[in-house]
Amino acid sequence: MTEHFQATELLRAANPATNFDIDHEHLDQIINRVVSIQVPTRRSTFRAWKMKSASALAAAAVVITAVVVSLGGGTPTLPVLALSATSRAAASTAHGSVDKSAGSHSPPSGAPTPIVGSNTFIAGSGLSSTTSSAPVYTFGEPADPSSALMTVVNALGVTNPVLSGTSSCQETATGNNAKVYSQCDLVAAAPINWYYNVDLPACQGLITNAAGLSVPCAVGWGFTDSSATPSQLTQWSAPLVQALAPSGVTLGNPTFNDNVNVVTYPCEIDGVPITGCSEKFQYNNGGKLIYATGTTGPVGPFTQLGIYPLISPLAGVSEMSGSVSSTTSSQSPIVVTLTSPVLTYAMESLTNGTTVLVPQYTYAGSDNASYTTLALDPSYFTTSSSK
Amino acid sequence: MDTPRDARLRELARRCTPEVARYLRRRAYPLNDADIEDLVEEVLEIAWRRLDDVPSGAELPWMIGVARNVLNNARRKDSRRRRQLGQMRPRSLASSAEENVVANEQLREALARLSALDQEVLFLHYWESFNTDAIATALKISKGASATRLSRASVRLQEAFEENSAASDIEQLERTRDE
Repeated sequence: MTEHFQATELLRAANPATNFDIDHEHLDQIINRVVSIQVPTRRSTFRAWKMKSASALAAAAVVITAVVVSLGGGTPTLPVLALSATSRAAASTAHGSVDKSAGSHSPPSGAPTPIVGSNTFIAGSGLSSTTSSAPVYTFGEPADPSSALMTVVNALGVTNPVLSGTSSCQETATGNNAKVYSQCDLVAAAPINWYYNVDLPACQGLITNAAGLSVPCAVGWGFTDSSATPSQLTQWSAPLVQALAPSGVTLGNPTFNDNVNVVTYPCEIDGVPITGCSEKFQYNNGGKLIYATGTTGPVGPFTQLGIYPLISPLAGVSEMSGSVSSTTSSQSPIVVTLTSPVLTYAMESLTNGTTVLVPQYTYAGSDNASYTTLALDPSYFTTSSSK
Repeated sequence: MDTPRDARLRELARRCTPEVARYLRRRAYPLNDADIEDLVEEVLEIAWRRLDDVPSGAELPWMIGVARNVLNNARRKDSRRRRQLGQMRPRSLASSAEENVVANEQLREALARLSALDQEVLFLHYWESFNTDAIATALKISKGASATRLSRASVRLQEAFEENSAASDIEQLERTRDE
């Protein structure tokens, strides 16, 4: 007879423990390549998409097909939105964004984390089956990237900035005390994101802190043991908040990640948060701004394209479930219950490069993540990625 | 001149990368060094873009969570490529640890009967020595869910293992009787 072992002990014993160590020179090269990447883009959103039919694909060639859909009964007709294949939303059936404040559902302000694997979504109790409507907006005219960047540079107090552009929509301002660079979306002309990094003295290992003690650089710079309070972060960021707010939007109540002394203000339009648009500031414990990022340039004024019909929050869950692709048989689907839908806006690009604000639902998942899906009635948009 | 972000990433990379690389080697065995370095670079790029989100005090579990996603993505891409090439490509990233490393047939079969998430929880606990807090960070689940899942997964593994053992015993008995 087979001796009956404890399976977990066998598993522990099967650990392919390895002494493998990555080559340190190679690691240095990798790190240098990584930190040279100037694209800490924080606007991509993974979402569910209902796959469009072939007939819808034909319509996708038209950027905005005017007078295509009528709500009937004399209701004004609405243009169908042809969303770009390279839009943040297109081409992905994976979706999900981790809500860092587990337990408190709020629209995500940071970069979402795709939930890897196949999820099955079910609607939690109380999800409304009532449809509604909401405006869709187009952005204002694109601004000159250099002048947009200089507005930010001046607000941040960067001294003696020297402008240099590396591409048509990427500009860098290097000053005596900091570097600011801006980047517009390669798909759409608007908006422009900016990033601020303060210069600190080069430090190899240790640095002398204010108390005269030798401490690791990261500690001396305030990256560890971050202890600023939300009220301090609010106070420190207050002078910059309004100066840097993108035109045409208001800034909502701040959220805090006081593990790293970060305060984030979400952009809103008509009181509805815009996913991916925010002002974020990071300070050291002494109140010195060490990193910031936000959105600027030609955000507003917005033009209302029309009041579009929305699917219900309940139907939104079905849209997500219908879009989920199966994965390998070894991966069992994770069942996620979605509750507490919140209407937010997503920035998406049309095939002609125009940026639009479209309504989406953000749900709280039973796995403590947030999930988004487009709230627009599927009759009113196409995506050229649907193949 | 390093900016604070640069410095933080360097510090994070030097502290966590050795373990991340070992995790990748364990979970995607066999992989050559160059493949592992490619995956490590991808992990660091994500860490660089999301530096503000790296939880203080739980950097390694967070990085392992990213590495897991990177590896899963790479496996899916590799799987698609192999399908497109008519399965002619040799197994590489698609090979999972349990397929290659777990020599005990009954254990391997028992593992295969668990969900992917249950398997992951067990590997993180028994191979990476992660406690339930670290597992929660790596898998982005609550600490309570992490503890519950680890407990249930251990029980399920044992049950599946014992069922396999029983089946094996019956087979052995039948073979003995036939002989």
